[in-house]
This record gives sequence, structure tokens and C-alpha cells, in this order.
Amino acid sequence: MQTNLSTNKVTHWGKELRRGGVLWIPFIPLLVFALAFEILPMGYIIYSSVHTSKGFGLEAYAQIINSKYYLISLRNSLLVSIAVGIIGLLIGTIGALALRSLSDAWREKLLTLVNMTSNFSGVPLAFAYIVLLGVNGLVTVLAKEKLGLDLYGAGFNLFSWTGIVLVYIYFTVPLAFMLMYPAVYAIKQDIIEAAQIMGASRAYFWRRVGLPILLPAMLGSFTLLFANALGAYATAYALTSSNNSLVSITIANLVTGDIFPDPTLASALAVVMACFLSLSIAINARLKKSSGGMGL
Amino acid sequence: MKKGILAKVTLALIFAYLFFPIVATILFSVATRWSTTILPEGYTLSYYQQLFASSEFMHALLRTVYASFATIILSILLIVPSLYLAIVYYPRLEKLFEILSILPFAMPGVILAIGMIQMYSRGPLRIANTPWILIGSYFVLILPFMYQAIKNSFRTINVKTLTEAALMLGCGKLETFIKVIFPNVLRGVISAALISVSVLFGEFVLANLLVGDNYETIQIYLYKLQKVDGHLANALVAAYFLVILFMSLLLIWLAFRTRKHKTIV
Amino acid sequence: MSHVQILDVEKSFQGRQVLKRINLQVEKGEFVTLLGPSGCGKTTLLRIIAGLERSDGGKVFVGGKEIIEGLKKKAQNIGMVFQSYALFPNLTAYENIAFGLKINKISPPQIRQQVEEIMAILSIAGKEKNYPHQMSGGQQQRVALARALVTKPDLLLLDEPLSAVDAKVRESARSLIRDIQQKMGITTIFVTHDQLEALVMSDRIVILDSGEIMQQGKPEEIYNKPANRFVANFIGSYNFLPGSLLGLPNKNVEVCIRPEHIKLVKLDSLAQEEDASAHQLQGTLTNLYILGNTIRAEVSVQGKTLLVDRLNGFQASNFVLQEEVRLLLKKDALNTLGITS
Repeated sequence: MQTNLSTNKVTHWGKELRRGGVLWIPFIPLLVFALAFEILPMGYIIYSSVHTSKGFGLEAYAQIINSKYYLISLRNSLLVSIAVGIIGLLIGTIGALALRSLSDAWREKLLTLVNMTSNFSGVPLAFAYIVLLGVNGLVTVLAKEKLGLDLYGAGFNLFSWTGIVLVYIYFTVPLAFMLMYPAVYAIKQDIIEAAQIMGASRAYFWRRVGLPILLPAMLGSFTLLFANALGAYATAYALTSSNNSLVSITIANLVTGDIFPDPTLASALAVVMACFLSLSIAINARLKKSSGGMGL
Repeated sequence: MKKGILAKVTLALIFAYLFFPIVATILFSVATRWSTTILPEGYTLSYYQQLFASSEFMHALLRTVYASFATIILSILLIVPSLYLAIVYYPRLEKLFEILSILPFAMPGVILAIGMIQMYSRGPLRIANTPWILIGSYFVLILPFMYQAIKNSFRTINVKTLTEAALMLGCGKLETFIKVIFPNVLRGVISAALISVSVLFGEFVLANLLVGDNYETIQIYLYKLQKVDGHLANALVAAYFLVILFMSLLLIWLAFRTRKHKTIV
Repeated sequence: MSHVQILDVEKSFQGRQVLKRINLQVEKGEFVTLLGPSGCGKTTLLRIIAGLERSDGGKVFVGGKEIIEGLKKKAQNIGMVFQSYALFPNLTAYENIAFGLKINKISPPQIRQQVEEIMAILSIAGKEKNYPHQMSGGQQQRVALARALVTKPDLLLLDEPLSAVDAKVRESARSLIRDIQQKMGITTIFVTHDQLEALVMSDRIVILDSGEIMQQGKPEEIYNKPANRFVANFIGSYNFLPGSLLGLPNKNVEVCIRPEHIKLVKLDSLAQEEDASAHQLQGTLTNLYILGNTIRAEVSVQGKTLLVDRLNGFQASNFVLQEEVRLLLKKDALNTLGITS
């Protein structure tokens, strides 16, 4: 009787409060800030991309399509992001799988360490790599002196594509590790044992059951790693300065560069890039919905 | 058995890969000379002394601290009450937070920055090249982290039931929020703040594009220092990583305390 | 030779002995239940029999073949149903059930026929294309059972397969499992902590505690003649009382009696006349409540509370709380458990 009464009262309260008058006030400043610094800037880019000196038009987009230079920077960015996404995902997945062999306590400790290294990116990371693998870097010099291995003589160059991919992989691996860990962890010991009891070999289990379970999570994680690499700026900027080969750097140079500032073109490139990012985020959201969990 | 060893070797390799640059950076920052030997030839703290004696460094550090803390406090004030109200009274508005926190993924630093530069270089609100524009952009940058962490801490305390219980006991709405809800999510808010500090201390894109030399943050200082004095820059990277390490430990400690607290209840 | 032979099996985890030299034989076609509280070692024993866990000592034979941990299981044909069902989430019900047959390289038409047959028996025909998350708990349970049964295993191992479904489904699943087991004549070892499940389903119950077999026997033996205090305590409710209370010749002996074997009568009722077949005790009625088909009374006798169960329908209203009542304890229902220290 009494519980009945109190639930009634609570629902009553709930209803009354839902109508509550001044409770929406705290949303106003939040919305103002979100509009001013998130939504309007985004809208402004779209506006600016079609707002040329001669009025409105799609000239900037046409310019991108007709220019080898911008198309190449776009292609470079996409290729680097795909390569980095795949390699990072593989290393991260293997790492997460290997983590299964440890006890719970160790697993948590190592995950914390991985999480920590995920903060190591951007300028400090680029700089650490320069110290290690630059022309006079520690590893470069040591390899020459102790192993007789001339890295730069063999074609390696930290300030080229190899270097960018190498450093990008470094900041992708911890993320991939963290993203794949829950999915790998979801493959519980009992289904492995169930397969074992039925006579399945380890390889057969992973082919028929383990990998198919992981696949959606891998695809979902890949979209995020890809997006993360595509949007990255600081690492490449610190590594190659204003070598205009990646789209994020090209965009920034078009706005801040002293030589040929062209905000309209920059905005158009930004819109193109945002489309790729939105696409991968949408795929991720879709996967998350259908698999009921993994993802963002 | 064989499989266990293979897994451990794999893990050891991955961790060696992840920690090699970090350990090398830290060693290099205390090395007197280190070029052709496996380990440094001698150790010194002089780079750190020089670094901390530099007023340029101290100013850059303080600028970063100001901008980060201002942003974090602002974010807490903007997000905590409204998210609370959304969860308890306006469940449909939670969608708004989701949209706001997913947008930055499609709009990384570079894109956000060029949008803001164009918008705020002219017109009524000329804040480009001032710390204000930096705080605005930082607010967007940490929004996803803030939202996720704060939402989780509201979830764990079952905020709706807790509110209803407090109201039933005759507590006012504002009083409920201040005396009942906020103390209970304080720990979650602190971890959200710590994560944000880590993110903001490592932020370069927005600072470089939006304010540059006009408000030199620690990352911009590092970028410049790198070209002048490698050893000092290296000490700064090492110090930065030690700060991140400290933050991570603090976060674990917080999470651990929360868990312990929960098991007692 | 028995179909399943467990010889001197021992196991320790981090210095704690969970199985102490277990010896157990299971005959062909027999349904044996390992019953005990959590941590008694029953699941560990089952996993050793399955070859999923390595024993520290001793041997296990199934159908004459030794079970060795880590060995490929293709040859040994053991079926197992896990507590969580352990269905493969990426495979349909049909593919889950066919999994073991495929590994054993059975021809596709034969696989189809066998899978369809077992699905019909378990009344899950029509669910072939469903994925585990699209089925109810009870249906998942049947798929798991079908997957274990479809290879016509020499031995079926069930690790608390009924604990994850609600009470209604559990009850029907009990008789379903027992029916199929008897029809197919499959030797079965069943692990549970639920005494009712054990009593209803088993040919033989083996009661384990702290890694030791406390007693084994037919359900009625276990229920009526518990060998020791642990078993008596674990199965149903028992009243324990010192022999001195009943004026037994040996005063140091401890006896026990089921609540349903005690009769509750009015102090002044006719039954007070000397009845040679029952002991008589006088006490105070302290509580009276309905358990469903029975009514339970709590009677305090010289500071000790005895439980008395009567069928619902008995004239409870004749009694008032705190009333002095007489208890009649049937002599042939008394169990002597041994000397108390």
C-alpha cells in the first residue's frame, strides 16, 4: 500500500517538474557558446566556400577539382590515413588479443599505460622522433656506429612520407588498442571452450567465430582511426613544417599563409575534408547501432 | 602454454615500441653527452634548471594554465547544470548534447580554426588573436570529453531517482542540485577536468592558428624552442610527459577511490 | 568397467585444495548430479572431466579413453552445455548446432537431417535462421542443449544450465532434459547448487563440500538418510536436536528430523496419550506462516526453535501464538547423525 502511494507521488512530482518554468534557463548560455564557437563557425565555412569575390558560386570547388596540386594533397591525406588506420588497427588488435593472456590486475595496469601513451602526440611526439630518428638522431647515429646501418643512406627520411606514416602510426596504436579492447574482451573464455569441446582447433575457432565477432568492431575502430589521422595537423606540421603535402596543412596555409591567402578555397577544402570525416563517423554510428555497443 | 608466451612477447614488443620514445626523451633530457653510446655518458639536471629559470617558459606555461583553467571552469558551469536538467526533466534535450559532442569529430582543429578566424576577424565580435577566441575553441575541443565523463558520473549515481528522493524529502530543486547532486558527481567532474587538462596542455593546432604569437602557449613555445635549443626543448617534452603521467596516476587513483567507495555502500 | 571413471582426482588453485582425491564412477546411461554450495569444487570437477582443466593428480576415463587437458577433442565426443550457454553470437541457431558436426566432417545432407531432427525434438524448429540475440533465454538454452546433443555424445556435461532462466522455464526445462536424456540413454553429469533440481532429475546425487564427496546415493536416500550434518543441512530443512532433549539412552548423540515428520497438536488433545511410535515434546508456539502448500510453525522447546510443516488446510486457526503446544516426533523419521562433542 505504502509503496504504491509513494510511486504515485513520485510520478506526480515528475509530471509537475517536467512543466517547470525557469529550469530551461541554464541551457541558454550553453547554446550561445555552442552556436558561437561550434555551429556558426561550421556554417560559416560552408558559407565562405561558396562566397567568392564575384558573389556566390562553386568556383572554389571547381578549382580544387581542376588543380592537380589540391587533389594530390587530398589524395595524400586519404592514403596516409587509410594506411595508418589499417596498420594501427592491426597492431592495436593484436595487442588487445595478447592482453587476454594476462591476469585481470596486470591487464588493467597495462591498459592504463596504453591510455597514457595516447596523450603523446602532436608537437612533443614529432620532436621526440626528431631526437631519435632525425638526421643526427640518437638511433640514426647509433645504428651507423654500432650496426653499420646507414638509415638515411638506405632511403629513410623522417621528414618525408615514411616519417609521417611512422609517427602517425605511433599515435594511432594506443587509440586502436583502447578501441579494440572491449570487443576483444567480449569474446569470453566460455565460447572458446565450447568450440574446443566440439573438437575445433584454435585456428578454426578464430576463423569461424572469433574474427567474425571482431570484424564490425574493427571496421568501426578503423573509421575513427582514419578520421583521427585525417584531421591531424600538429604532428605533420612540426615534422615537415609547411611542406604542403597534407590537406590539413594546405587548408591552414591557405588561411594563415602570407603568400597566397585564399579563405574561400580553404573553406571549400575544409568542407570536402569534413565530408570524408562525416562519412566515416556516420559509418561508425551505423555499425554501433547494428552491433549494439562498440564505437564512439 | 606456448600461446601464453607468444602473447607476452607480443605485448612486450608493443610496449617497447610505445615506451621507447618516451624513455629515450626522458633520458636525453638528463644526459650531459649522448651520441654514440647505448646509454648517456653522464647525467645532469641543468637543462631543467635552465628551462625553469627562463621567464619565457614560465610565461608560456602560465598562459596555458590560464586558458585551460578558464575553459574548464566555464565548461563545468555550462555543462553540469544543463546536463543534469536534461537528464532529469528534459530527456529529449540529451540528444542536443550528443549532437554537440559528435560534431567536433567531423570538425577537427584545423577546420574549426579556419571557420573561427574568418568569422571573428571582422564584424561585431573581433576576438581573433585574443585569448578569448582560444577559450571559445577550447570549449568545443573538450566538449566531447566533458560530456562523456559527466554523463557517466550522473549515470552511476542514478541521478533521477536521487533527485526524486530528495524532492520527496522536502528538499528544494536548487538545494537538491547543490547539496545532493553536485557533491555526488564532484569526483566525475574532477576526472573530466583532469582529462581536459591533459588534452589542452597538448593542444597546438588551435593555438597556432587562432592566436599564434599573440598568446604564446606552452606548445607554441615548444615548437619555437625546438628550432633554437634542442636540449631545452627535449627537457620540456620530458617534463610534459611527466605531467601527463602524474595526471594519469591521479585519474586512476580517483577511479579506484570511487570504486572502493561504491563497494562499501 | 564403468563408463566414466574418476580416479583420485586432485586440484589446487593458489595453494587452496579445491578437489581432494575424488573417486567417482558413472554407469552408462546414468544421470548423476554433482550438488554442492558454490566453491565446493563441482564445476572444477566437471571441467576436468571435460578436459578443459588440468588436474594435479589422478585420472579420468570416459568410455575407456583417458581425458587429457589440452588434447584435441575431436575423438572423444563429449557434449557440454555451459552456464552462459556460450552460443556463438555470429552464427545462427542452425549454424551453432551444426558446428560440431561440421568439424567432424559429416556430409552436409546428413548434417541437415541431424540438426533438423534434434531441433524438432527440442521444439525449436523454425528458429534455424535466428541469431542468439534474437531468441529468448529459454530458446537459447534449447539451442545450447541441441548443440551438445546433436553429435550423440558418449557423455553429456551440464554446468548449471538452468540457472539463467526464470522459474517457469526452469521447471519445464528440468523435465525436458530428463526426458531426452532417458530417451537417448545418454550418460549425463549435471552440476547444480539447486537441491530441488538434483532431487527431481537425478538417478544419483553426489554431494560435494570443500572438495570432498560428502555422500552419494539415490535422491530418496539422500533426502531421507543424510549421512552427516552437512548433507542434512544442505538438503531441505532439518531440525537438529540433542539426544538429551528426547530422553534417548545415549544423551550425547545428535539427531535430526524433517519438519514434515513432526506433528503439532493442542496440549490437551487426545494424542497426548502415550504413543509408542513417537516422541513427545512440549513447547511454545512462536510463529505461524504460509509457505504455499504447507504451513510452517515455529515452536520453542527449551530454548530451541523447532520447525513444523503441515499441509495447508490444517486447522491453523485453532492455534494462537504463545500457546503451549505438544509436538509428536515420529520415531522412524529420526536420523541419528553421530556423537556431538
